[in-house]
Amino acid sequence: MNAKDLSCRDARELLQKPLLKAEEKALLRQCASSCHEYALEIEGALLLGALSGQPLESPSVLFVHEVMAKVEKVPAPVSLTTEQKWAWMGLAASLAIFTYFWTFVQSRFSLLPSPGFTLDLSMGPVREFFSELLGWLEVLSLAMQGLGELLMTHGPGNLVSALLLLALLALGLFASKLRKVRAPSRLRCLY
Amino acid sequence: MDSELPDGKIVRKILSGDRDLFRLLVQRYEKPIFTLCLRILRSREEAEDAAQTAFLKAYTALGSSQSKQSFQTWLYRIATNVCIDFQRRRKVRPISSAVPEDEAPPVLSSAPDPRQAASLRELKNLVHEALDRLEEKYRLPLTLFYIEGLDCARISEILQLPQSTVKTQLQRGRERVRDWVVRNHPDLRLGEVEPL
Repeated sequence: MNAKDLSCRDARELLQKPLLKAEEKALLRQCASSCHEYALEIEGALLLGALSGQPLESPSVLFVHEVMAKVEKVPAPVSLTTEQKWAWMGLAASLAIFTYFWTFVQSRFSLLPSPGFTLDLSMGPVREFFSELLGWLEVLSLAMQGLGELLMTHGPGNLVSALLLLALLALGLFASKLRKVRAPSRLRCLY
Repeated sequence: MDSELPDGKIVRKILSGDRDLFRLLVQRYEKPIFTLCLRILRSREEAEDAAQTAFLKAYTALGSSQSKQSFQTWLYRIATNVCIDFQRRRKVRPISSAVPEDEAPPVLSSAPDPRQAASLRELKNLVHEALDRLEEKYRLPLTLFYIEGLDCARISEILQLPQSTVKTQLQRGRERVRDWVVRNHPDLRLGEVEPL
């Protein structure tokens, strides 16, 4: 490696340091004359070096007092632990599942006869309701079993588990919305 | 002694209810944060407002500060963002007239002798003026690098930019400072500037 290359290498290294010692600044100045590639940058760095190591500015003497006065007016910060975050996510997922089944059951019970109607059991709405409910419970239990295995294997904090829970939450909410929309048309068909 | 506790422990104690310990963090960082705000905003009043806002924001979001980066880096990032917000809100003066001539610090042109003018104090004023006139994208990294003494890795965390971008901005910023000084003060011979 020739002198010019060495000089440029030194310059490149020194330019990465925010605070230079006196001898490093002297070396950088030497580099400026032999390494033309960085000459302009080195001159700028030497100028800006004048600002390094200056004493920090002080705010007013009341600064800390004023900040603390404002701090006392705002609610204390809260930090959720990982377990708490999982608990909240679990709660949200349960809520979504509950919402789905609530709308599902509600749509079925709305099929029950209002006063003045005679229920024709041969249409089998009760049997249909229970068979569909059992089917959904089976699907749900499989899903929860898979999710449980995943959580047991990878532990909380695993991104896939979090995404699955969120997907389940979204699915529950979406399905409950669909159910609400579909219920009236079923009513029309049955009666 | 609480005052010797590392930032992380103080943060955890605050989160568990000892909110008065936040005073320690304010005392620890009031000067660097205020200096940073002052260099960006160039007004003591605004810098003080911005620094207070930064501390308040840091306090309310303290629960989310326990990530991989240090509290100091996180606080610098908040302060930098607050200052940028302040600048945008006041619709900062165009860069070309960032420091009006009558407010500008004394510079070399007013000095009769270039050698005398190259004295450290005047040189600092000159470089400050050059820095003030730079675009924000160059001024911020240069301020963090030369005034706050932070390295490229920390600056890239604070500004949320890739390190390569920070290095490029530093390089171009240095060249622009040098060009501005040479263009506006041709009497100053850079080769004669003492190692500072």
